[in-house]
Amino acid sequence: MSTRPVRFDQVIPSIVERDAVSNHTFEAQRVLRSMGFVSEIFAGGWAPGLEGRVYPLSELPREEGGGQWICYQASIGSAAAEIVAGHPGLKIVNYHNITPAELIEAWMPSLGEEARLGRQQLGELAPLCELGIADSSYNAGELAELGYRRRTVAPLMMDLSALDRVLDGHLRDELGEAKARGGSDWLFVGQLLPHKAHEEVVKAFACFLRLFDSGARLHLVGRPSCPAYALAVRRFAEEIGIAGSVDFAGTVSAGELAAYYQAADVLVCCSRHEGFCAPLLEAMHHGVPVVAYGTAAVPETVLDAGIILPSSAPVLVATAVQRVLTDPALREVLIDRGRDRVRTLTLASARRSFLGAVEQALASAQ
Amino acid sequence: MSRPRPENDLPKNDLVEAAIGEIPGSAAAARADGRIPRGFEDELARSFASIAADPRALERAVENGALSARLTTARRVAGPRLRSIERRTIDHAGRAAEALATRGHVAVDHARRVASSGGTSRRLVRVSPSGRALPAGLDDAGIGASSAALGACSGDPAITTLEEWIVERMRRGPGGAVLHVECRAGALVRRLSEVGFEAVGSDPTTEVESDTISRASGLERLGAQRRSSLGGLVLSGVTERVSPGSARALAHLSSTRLVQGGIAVLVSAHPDRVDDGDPITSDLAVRRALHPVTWCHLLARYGFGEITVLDPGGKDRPGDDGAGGGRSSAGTLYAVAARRE
Repeated sequence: MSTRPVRFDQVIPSIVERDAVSNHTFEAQRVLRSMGFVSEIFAGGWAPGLEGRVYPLSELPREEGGGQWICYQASIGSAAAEIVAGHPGLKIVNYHNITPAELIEAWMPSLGEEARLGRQQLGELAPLCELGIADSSYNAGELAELGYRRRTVAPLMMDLSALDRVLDGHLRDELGEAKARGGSDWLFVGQLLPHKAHEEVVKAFACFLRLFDSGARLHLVGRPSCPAYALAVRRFAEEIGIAGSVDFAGTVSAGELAAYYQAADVLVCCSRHEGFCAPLLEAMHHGVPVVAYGTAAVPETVLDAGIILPSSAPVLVATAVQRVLTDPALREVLIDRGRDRVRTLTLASARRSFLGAVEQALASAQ
Repeated sequence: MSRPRPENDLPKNDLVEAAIGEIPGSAAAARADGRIPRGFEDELARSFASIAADPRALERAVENGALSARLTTARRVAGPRLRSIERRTIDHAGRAAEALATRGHVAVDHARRVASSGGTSRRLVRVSPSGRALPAGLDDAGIGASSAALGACSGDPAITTLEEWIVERMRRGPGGAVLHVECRAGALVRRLSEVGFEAVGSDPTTEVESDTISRASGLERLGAQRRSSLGGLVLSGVTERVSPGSARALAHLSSTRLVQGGIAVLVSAHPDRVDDGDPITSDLAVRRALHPVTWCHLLARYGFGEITVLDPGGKDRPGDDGAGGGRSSAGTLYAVAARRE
């Protein structure tokens, strides 16, 4: 019978502020500390301002004999995984999905390579880990395929109410003025990366302008993480003559994001791959109905609180949006169901799930 | 469609399920009744596919956009301090000071060209027996004989020889991105692309602006390039109207913008073969072409090795390849290649 370990550290390839996996990692640290562990975060890289909250991988303590656990936050290939694999501590993996390389490598060969490496490393960690924690059943399925014998699902820990505490009043007024002139507001939130399929949203929006509402606006909020892809989407909107109706908002502050959600009539997601998709829940939290292509973990995140489509065919998506905007009963149900869905994924309940997963890992090692 | 049902699934909602069931039919009706023209969705798909067909070209376009932003910043930074920077010599003790001085040279050179070209030209017209303001190919319009020769598809076998010599030198480098400064219509850029380099060009007067060719002047374009980002660099045109200060700046900039092992090729009109033997015109030119030996000296001083010269019109021409000497455009040109160590 081993004694309860003292340390439960986390390792992550890189960490920033205001990113779903990074926020989750900070929340996990709070949970682990609340359980009485000494818990620090060790990263291969971090954003300025996080010094003192995050430490370099070279400083990761190495305690033998079951006195230390490591939780590896996996979402991309990294040398951090090699360090975890070679560490003497007991290990768990918290898996947030790795985008399939084939969806990104044409645009970003190096990122594609990292993704490929990430899946390989995840498989190599399987026999070394006591437990695989996935933030969706979809991701748990991938862990099973990679050989993780013990798995559990614990949702991403997100504080959706944080967006209620900030609101950019200037942008809210600006968006409100545009709305007062007529036309509906589409929103998609996500980094401009090829697997997010912004071009599919633009295609659907082009059909919507033609079919239903020539005064509509599309807001694409998200960092242009793949500049060439971002340029392609922008040029596409120009070439098909709808650039004036498409707002490439780029990176926004939390207050601006809240303003975009407040102004949105619908959130449209045509991503080809999502391991969880936090913006779907943010939209539900703000009472914005969701229309999404039902790929990967999207149906599981949305459940019945949104319109899940079997394809992202432009006319199909446009028609679904029109139905949501013009059917008051459906709209009301979607908003209600969305709020119910969000209530099942509160920060408090997600913390409990994560804590339960950690207890499960500790028990399995005894 | 397969929809995962985890344990915390909510009960189905009939209204939502009904809507999901009806939407495909409504979409099909929109297609069938012509509200969406036949082929419209396919056309959208083709349009994006055509834009996205060459991600590398888009990357280069993004880089050109970033370049414009950096140029704007460089001009803004250099602006208020032009005069003090102009007097500053390159300070080898401090990289920051050196970079600032380089920016200064760029901006001062540009300002001088704009402000003084008319007056200078008039004075030189008066003293030049031939009535020429500046030696052939060294006019203040900004394009020299070397750029004219390399930028267009002339069919001149001597120019082809020069181009192939440049390509052969570039092949000795690490490959990757190659920049041709003052590329005019971009013939050499196209040739380098054909043989596998990621070639781009810049020229202040080009009329063929594209994803690979941007409109920017020589030193400014080079100054805005990221450090250690080029596998190869070809400089023409700008090499024929350099002051001593800007010649040093050019050599220094070339060194900092190339990766280790990167190849620089400077192509220039030879000063002894383009001025119609008018020493006054040549000596009084504010900016002038330099002799090959001067470039060799500067390149060696700024961290280059393996320096070679191709001078078809010179006494020591490397074999008579038909480039010719004397008055033909090719005969006036020489090239210096060097590897950044």
